[in-house]
Amino acid sequence: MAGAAAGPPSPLRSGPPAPPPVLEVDDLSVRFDTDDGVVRALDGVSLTIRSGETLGILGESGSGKTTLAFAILSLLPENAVVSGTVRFGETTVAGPEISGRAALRLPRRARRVLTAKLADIRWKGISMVFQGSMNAFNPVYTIERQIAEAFLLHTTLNRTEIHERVLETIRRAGLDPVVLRSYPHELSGGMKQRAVIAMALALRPRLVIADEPTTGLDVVIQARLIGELRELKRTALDSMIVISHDIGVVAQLADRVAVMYAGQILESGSVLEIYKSAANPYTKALIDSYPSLEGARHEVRGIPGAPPDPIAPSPGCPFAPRCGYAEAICRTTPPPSVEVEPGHWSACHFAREVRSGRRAASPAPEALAPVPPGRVAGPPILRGERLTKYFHLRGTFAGSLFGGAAAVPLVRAVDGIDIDLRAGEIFAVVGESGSGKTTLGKTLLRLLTPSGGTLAYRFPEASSPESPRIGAAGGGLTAVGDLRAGSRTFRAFRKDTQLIFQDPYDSLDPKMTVFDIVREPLLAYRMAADPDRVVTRVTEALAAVSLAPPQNFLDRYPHELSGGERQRVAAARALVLKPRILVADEPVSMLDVSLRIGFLNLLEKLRREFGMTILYVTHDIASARYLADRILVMYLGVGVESGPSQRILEEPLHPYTKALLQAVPVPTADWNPGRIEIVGEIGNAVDVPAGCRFARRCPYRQPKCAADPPPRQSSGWDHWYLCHFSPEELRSIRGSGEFSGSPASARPGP
Amino acid sequence: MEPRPEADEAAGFRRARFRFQALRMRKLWRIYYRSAYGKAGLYILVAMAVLTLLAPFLTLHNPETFIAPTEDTYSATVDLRTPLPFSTVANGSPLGASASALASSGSYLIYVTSATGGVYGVGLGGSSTTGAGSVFPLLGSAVPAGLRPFAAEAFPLASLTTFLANYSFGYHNYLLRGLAGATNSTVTLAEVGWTGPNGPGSGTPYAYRIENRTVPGTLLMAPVANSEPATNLPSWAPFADSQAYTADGLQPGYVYVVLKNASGIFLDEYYDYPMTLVWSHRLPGTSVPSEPTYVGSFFAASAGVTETRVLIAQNSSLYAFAPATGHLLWQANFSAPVAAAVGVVIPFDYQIGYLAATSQAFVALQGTPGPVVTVSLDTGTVHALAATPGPITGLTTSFGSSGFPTYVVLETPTTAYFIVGGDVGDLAADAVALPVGFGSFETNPLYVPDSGIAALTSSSGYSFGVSTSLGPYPIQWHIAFSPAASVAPPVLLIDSFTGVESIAFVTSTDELVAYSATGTDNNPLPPTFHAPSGNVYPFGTNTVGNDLFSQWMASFPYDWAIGLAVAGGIMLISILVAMFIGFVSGWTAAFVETLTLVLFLTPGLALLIVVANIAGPSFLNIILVLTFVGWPFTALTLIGVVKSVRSRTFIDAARISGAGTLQILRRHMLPNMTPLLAYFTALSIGGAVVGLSTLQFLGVAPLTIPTWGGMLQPLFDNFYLAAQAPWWIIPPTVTLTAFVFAFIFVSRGLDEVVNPRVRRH
Repeated sequence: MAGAAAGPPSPLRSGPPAPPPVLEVDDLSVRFDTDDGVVRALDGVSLTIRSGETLGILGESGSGKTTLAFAILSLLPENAVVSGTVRFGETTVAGPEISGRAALRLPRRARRVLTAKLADIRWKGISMVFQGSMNAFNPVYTIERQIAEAFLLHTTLNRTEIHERVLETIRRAGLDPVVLRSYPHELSGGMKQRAVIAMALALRPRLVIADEPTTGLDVVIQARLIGELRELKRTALDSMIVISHDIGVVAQLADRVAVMYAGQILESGSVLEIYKSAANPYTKALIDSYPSLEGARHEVRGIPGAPPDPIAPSPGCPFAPRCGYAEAICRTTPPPSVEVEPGHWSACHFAREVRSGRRAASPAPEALAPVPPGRVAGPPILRGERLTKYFHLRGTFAGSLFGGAAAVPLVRAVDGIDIDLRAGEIFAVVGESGSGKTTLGKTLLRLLTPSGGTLAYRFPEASSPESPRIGAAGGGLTAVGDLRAGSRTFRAFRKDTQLIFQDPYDSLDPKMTVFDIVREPLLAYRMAADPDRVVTRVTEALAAVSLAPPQNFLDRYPHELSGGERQRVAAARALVLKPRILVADEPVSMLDVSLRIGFLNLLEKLRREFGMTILYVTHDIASARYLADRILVMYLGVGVESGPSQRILEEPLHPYTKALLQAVPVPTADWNPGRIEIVGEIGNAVDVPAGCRFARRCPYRQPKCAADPPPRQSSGWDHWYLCHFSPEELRSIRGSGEFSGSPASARPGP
Repeated sequence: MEPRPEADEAAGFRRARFRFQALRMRKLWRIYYRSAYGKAGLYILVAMAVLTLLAPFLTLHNPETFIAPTEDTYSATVDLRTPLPFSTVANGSPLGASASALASSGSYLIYVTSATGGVYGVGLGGSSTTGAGSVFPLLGSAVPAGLRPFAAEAFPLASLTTFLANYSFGYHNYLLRGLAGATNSTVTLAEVGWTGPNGPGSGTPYAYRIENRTVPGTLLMAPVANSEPATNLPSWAPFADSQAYTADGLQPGYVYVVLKNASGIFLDEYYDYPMTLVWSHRLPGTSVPSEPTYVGSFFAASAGVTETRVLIAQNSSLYAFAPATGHLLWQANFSAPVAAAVGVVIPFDYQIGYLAATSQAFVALQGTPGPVVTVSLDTGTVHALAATPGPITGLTTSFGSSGFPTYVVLETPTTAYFIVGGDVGDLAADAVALPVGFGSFETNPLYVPDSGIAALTSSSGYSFGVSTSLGPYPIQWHIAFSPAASVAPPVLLIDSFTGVESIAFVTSTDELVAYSATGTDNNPLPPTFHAPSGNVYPFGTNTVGNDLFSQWMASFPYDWAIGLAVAGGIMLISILVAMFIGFVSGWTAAFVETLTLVLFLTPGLALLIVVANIAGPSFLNIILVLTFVGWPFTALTLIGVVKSVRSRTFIDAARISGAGTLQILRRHMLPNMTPLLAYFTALSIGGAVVGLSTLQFLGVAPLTIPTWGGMLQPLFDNFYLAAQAPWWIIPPTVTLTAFVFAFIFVSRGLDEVVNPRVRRH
């Protein structure tokens, strides 16, 4: 393969005299030999990171961004074939002769020298925050011991010195030194992630690679961590690579951004350049697929199709099959890298035209304008009143013997929720993880039996089973909360309700073909007698979720599908019985960014075409805002605010809602996560406060908040919230940003 | 009627679905096949499966016991092996030996004639001074040139002690030797004496009272006396002055000589002492007659038959002469010439006891099939007895002490036919196929009375002892005279005191070898492809004579069957228990799981032994026991899998789709457990065979069926075997190891298929 000298002009290497490069990646290609074929993970990637610079690498899953990080750390597995080089300072850390499979063929002595050299660079020169590494702490050692290990292995300091350095490190990461004596399970996710970052910084490496540093954290914590990382960038970091799929996170942390797709860098440049005047259709489409709060309810177009198969690459531009701008040339010729502005490169045949907007994209097939809110407001179809769901924690054996029932701790996952789904609406339940929103969704479908309260469903007139109606619950509603699981009424209810699960990788049986998966409800309800009819119905369901042509999907296995396709198959399974209520439990949180909006649009289409009532459960208030007619914000098992989505966005009253809205990172320069004033993390629903559930984190809390449960206050039609303060008081807070509390004083760390 | 497009589409879809499944299996197969372990395991298993299918055809011998035929595993022991200091081969074949019993002097000797006519006695060890194998010259070998010796015969005769008032008999051994000359031949008769300085039996044997008689013609065969040689009882024929005793009414000793001169072929009768001619009778034909046979006894006058006879057959006729007068008593004519080599066979007791009116001679005629006729000794009336499919090459009978002889043995070159108790009915029913590949059998069989054996000797130096009681393995032992090219007809030796019977041969390599008439167990046999029975023993035999190859071969189906049955049982129980615990919660599930755990934690081998002992050894019980001990491990693993699958979202998804428990179990649980089931099935089959082998090796539950473990069992008691007979240990050990490893390899190959984690080059 081409050596470093023969490589194409590096998009990131030109420009005015700059600090010396810390890391140079030159025409790096990585291929993996697997059973299914050769996976081209990286394809001619070149980039340079200079001292004091933070590079953001933006890409969806499979774009090769993690492989790039592994190549830089020379952690490529043995089936990798490398061409091109990675140089860290003066040292070549990856190259065709020393990385991946080639390393196995080195003479034993050379390999030992290489291993020693790389081991020395690894933590001291380059350190890495691995994706999900906050869960990689050893549960039986204290945090101190685990951070000290880095010093023990890489320095010759003695115990006292190490202790000093560990203390210094942990302070720098914004943590109270108390955590040093803690075990991992005693810390919250945010604190663990801070400790991981502290570890990465411990030896003051010249380069830190942060792979998805905020993924898996709740939105409020994520916002706070981004703020802290920005602070660290100024004080403690030399250079950094931030890898993320989230354009908001990258934009907030990086100086420059490289957009990766299918193992190639499609565009690179400064953050503002890229966000404001993207010169690559992929970047444009990615930015467009973000339902932003500003953009609110305008039409958001997703990117059609799925990322390319890394085993069978097409000859032209990798993005061409999904690109709205694509011409014939795109499918045959790899696009050249064009410098549209100084320091702003784009690999596109039409980079300048795209940037200037002279070329218009052909409309994406799935884009459609959402129904204006409030247009669909049918009668209530499912109503929960004072709905509760408690879980019993398993106590100790002795405790259960001698403590009696009262001693068994209760998890109040759902605690007295009033909810009213109206026929044909999309209703969003929003909250952080642990807020009980998923439990609420499952309880509403009777996948869980409610511990208290009533649950009533309006059967369709034609097929309503003979069962007593509850007059009190309103016209035509049948109580389903305490029906026996096998009863006819229950089965009729179950047939009318469906659920789409959060994880499309786990909700489809890996041993079944798409046909079998979608057919399953028909089997269960004995509607599969006529095989021809079954095929027809399955095909129809697949067509309804825009899997086209459906025949191509019938005998594929879930692992052969992309995340978006899987979730559509899950949706098809939910649709095949033509249910009336559909609960979508975080259906897009595990999908790639480019696929998310497509699925949300699909939900909208289902509602429109089938008149389905959809309960959309999410942690992402922006997407709820985009999709839903009404929103319920949940916190620790209770609803804290509810109302039409437009109103919630425009006039959030509850402090928690406000914090959620503020925490959504936006790729603008003026976004300041420091404004989020709530403190701490959500905690658990075991020992809930007597008063307001949110009181502990609320920046405006008063003594009465902790003591008394807050009343439900209404702020106009259909909009209520749970707080001691009146709407006027809360509006005034919003205006001044100050009330009478002491904001952020309880924040951990110095 | 126009087909619905929907139906068309659906049918097309189903076809596509089938194609798709086939493609998918091909892909999985490729992944499996790429695993070196999987490939190796598969090859071993395929080879073993093929062997299993072939087992019924490759298994030799009785499938119940796999006992190798006794002719292979038993051989006669050498009682005596003496190199002779002279050549015995005259006219291309060794001259036979002769022995006598009952008479003290010389009964411990076996007499061998040298090619030059010298007669020697070889000591059998009966005397302190004549150790076994000592060779004593008796009759000088300085015979005139041009004379051709026939093997000398030794026979006992009673001699009269003349000093007593009445006749009194003592037994003495005599030697009769014929030396054929061109015009005149010499017949020598001598008594063997053995009295030294310390009385009888001391010193060395010697011949004395040597008579030489010149007869006018060329001897055609060895001269015979009217005492049958080499039998355990002498004829009542007193020696000394035969003419005088004839006058007293006693039967004199005669010597018969068949000679040929210009006038024809003559049968001459001489008194034995002195050797004077009694009569001479010219035989009508020109071909060599059979050896003359004397029948009847000294006391014959008081029986129904008035006269003793001497019989001689020539061409298609049998002549009976009166010994005293030389008159032809009768002449029997046959449809075919008499098989001269077989001769006229007369049961021994007819010769020495009362000659009854029913007494018969047995005559084999030439031809194929080989007819056998009986001839009444009284009248010469001929009756057809039987006809063997092949030409008769030998014939012998038991003594016939009570009428028709109990056993008549007809020998053809490949088969021995037994006529038991005169029942000729189905000759083939009592046929003994003689071992193939050892030459043809053309010597008269030797009947060994006390051992109940007929010894059949082949032309290429093998002899087989066939039990007269027949049975499934009639051949009792074998003798291989390697490296002798040929042997003289066997001679029966009977120890005068102990009665122990031996069979002596003179070989073409100038050795005298005496074998015991009973066989000795040679097991374990080393691997051989040239066993006397014609069988092959690639793995040899074990101590009890089981053919190890057959046992090993026959173990394949049983080990497979038990392995598969146990694995099936384990899988069934495990799946049921796992499903039960996976989907039923509460007290019962906890109980079942605890029970499983208790069984799992109980030491397996101890449990196995105890349960096996309680159940008792039988094919079914072993399967049940191994299943009972084996299921908890698999069940516990499957319980874990069920619990983990149960917590996965797609189970919730199925439930929300309205699927009932059974549908979830069948459509979700089972397919998701399938890889593990395949894995565990493979391991269980191997494990079951190991468990079975453990039980068999320890001998805890001995089965009558063959298993590899059972084949190793004797090793448990006797480690010396491993050094003594390694061929015994190796095949089952290697196979057992390969079998178990094959399944482990296969499970590793399956692991590659079902575990994408390791899917890499």
